[in-house]
Amino acid sequence: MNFIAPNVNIISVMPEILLLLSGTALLFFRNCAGQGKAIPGIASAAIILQGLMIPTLWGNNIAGFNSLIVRDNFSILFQTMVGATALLAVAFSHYYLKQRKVSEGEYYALILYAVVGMNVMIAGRDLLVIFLGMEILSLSLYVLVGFFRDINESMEATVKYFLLGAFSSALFLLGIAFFFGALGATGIDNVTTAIEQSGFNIMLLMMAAALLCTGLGFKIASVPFHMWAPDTYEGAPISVASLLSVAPKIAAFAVLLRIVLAVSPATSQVTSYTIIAMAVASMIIGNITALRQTGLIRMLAYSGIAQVGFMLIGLLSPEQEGGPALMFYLSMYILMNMGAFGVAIVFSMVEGKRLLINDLSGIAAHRPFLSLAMSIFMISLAGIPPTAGFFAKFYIFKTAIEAGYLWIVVVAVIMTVVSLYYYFRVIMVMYMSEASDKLSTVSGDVTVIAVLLGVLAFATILFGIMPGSIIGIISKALAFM
Amino acid sequence: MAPSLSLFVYTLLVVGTAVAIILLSHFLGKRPLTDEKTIPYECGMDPLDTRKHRFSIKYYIVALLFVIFDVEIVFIYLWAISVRDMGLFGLLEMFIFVGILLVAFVYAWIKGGLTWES
Repeated sequence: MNFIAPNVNIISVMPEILLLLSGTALLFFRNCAGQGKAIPGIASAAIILQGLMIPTLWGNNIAGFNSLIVRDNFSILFQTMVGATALLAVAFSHYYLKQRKVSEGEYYALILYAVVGMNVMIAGRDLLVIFLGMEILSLSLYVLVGFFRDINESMEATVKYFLLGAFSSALFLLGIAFFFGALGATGIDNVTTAIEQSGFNIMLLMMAAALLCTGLGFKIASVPFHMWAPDTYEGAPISVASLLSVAPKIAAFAVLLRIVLAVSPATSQVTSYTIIAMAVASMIIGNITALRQTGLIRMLAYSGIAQVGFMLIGLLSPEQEGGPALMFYLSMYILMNMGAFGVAIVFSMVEGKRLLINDLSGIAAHRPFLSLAMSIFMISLAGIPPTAGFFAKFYIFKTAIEAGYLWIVVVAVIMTVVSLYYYFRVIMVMYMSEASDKLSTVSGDVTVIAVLLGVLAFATILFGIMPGSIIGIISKALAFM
Repeated sequence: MAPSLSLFVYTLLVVGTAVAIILLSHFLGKRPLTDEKTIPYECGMDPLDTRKHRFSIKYYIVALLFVIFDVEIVFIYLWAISVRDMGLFGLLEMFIFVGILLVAFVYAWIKGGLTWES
């Protein structure tokens, strides 16, 4: 028997090893003296360091583990987005945990592990590797959502998230089984070769595509797999909810994009029908349900579901302009959604009760800067011109029209108009209502979070005026596809 | 030996052992049967019980720790078969694998997962 050692190429997973080592170090040193800024400092340093390492791999297509992991420009861009989101989440968490005066424990280590999971998902070229990454991500998030065990809502949220998440993971795994049944391999790239030799079972591949979309649909919280999102976001610590509402979606969209690119030539229309159904249902149900929400976080959760509906449109023409448009939307979504959650964290200091939209009434008089930032994020989420959100929607709609899906764009535009109501209600309440004293005292040191929110708001407007630079980078990343 | 024959012998052995144990306990066991002797798990918990039954959460941690080492054993079995062919590479890989598991174990230890009395 001849044993051939696999080509591990440890360089290809260096950023992940760095994150794992620093995460594990945090586990062991969490009881040492010097609590406070040290642990979030180490966590952010690790994320920044891996964020610096990843671009050095740009353009090299470094493969590892017998090409189970390939760091192409596509994955580098997505991983940078994930890293930026995680960095923001760490900063928000630091503020949130300090205000609540709770012990941080394994909190930051779990965030680092979640980033590792997402990186593996994005760079994985084999469905089993992707599943592995998905599980690393999910297990970290299950714990993070229920991190504060003395809060009942938090426990409810984590049980709901865990049960539904485990179920969706099982469906994803079943999808992998069908994929293997159709092709006799689990590598995504195998589809292309199989099509050339026409050696695959079309029915099994269709089943596989549908099941894989289901598993990932849960991760991006698109209708009809969205029911966990509002309860989980609301019950989880808001800093975790901010991470949960952006980062897993980025990773899952990267995987969806890869799978759809590979599978759609083989399965004729089935994949695009699945995506159309998910997109239209998400836009309609997300936007209409958001109208009725009174809680701020719940409203943001439904708005997130609606935003995912818009993003899914980009998957309908992935090999033309849809891919870049989707990536542009995702990167703008980081800015505006993390920003909105960041403002919510600062405002969420009312003890022991959830934050209602009406609690914000008249806050602009006390907190003009935060209110202005929140208004910018809301305008951007609604997609009004001088902000990034407008161009994000504009590119997506343009690709859909070019691909011949005019009716979907009509639905999307109508739903955008509907969304104006609930986004602008927040602004209206902040600026035009009688001041209530509920939130007038925002305590503690808000310097870091204020600077971050300022940068996010500035970037939201900057990319709304000149989106070209980002689009250029993204097109370069996808040039090979 | 042909594979099918060895499979047949294996099946016979399995079925034979199971039947032999039942027959032996039937003939050698002392009569009369008490209530304790008729339940499926003689030393375990009652299989038919109300669901309000409470059990110590410590068992859960022990079970988790067991899973760590059980998984380790499963991999080491496979590794042991082919370790000669893999040479130094295989040896190093196993050290890395056991090392990673040890980190988890040490963490559980520090957190007090091994102390029964708190």
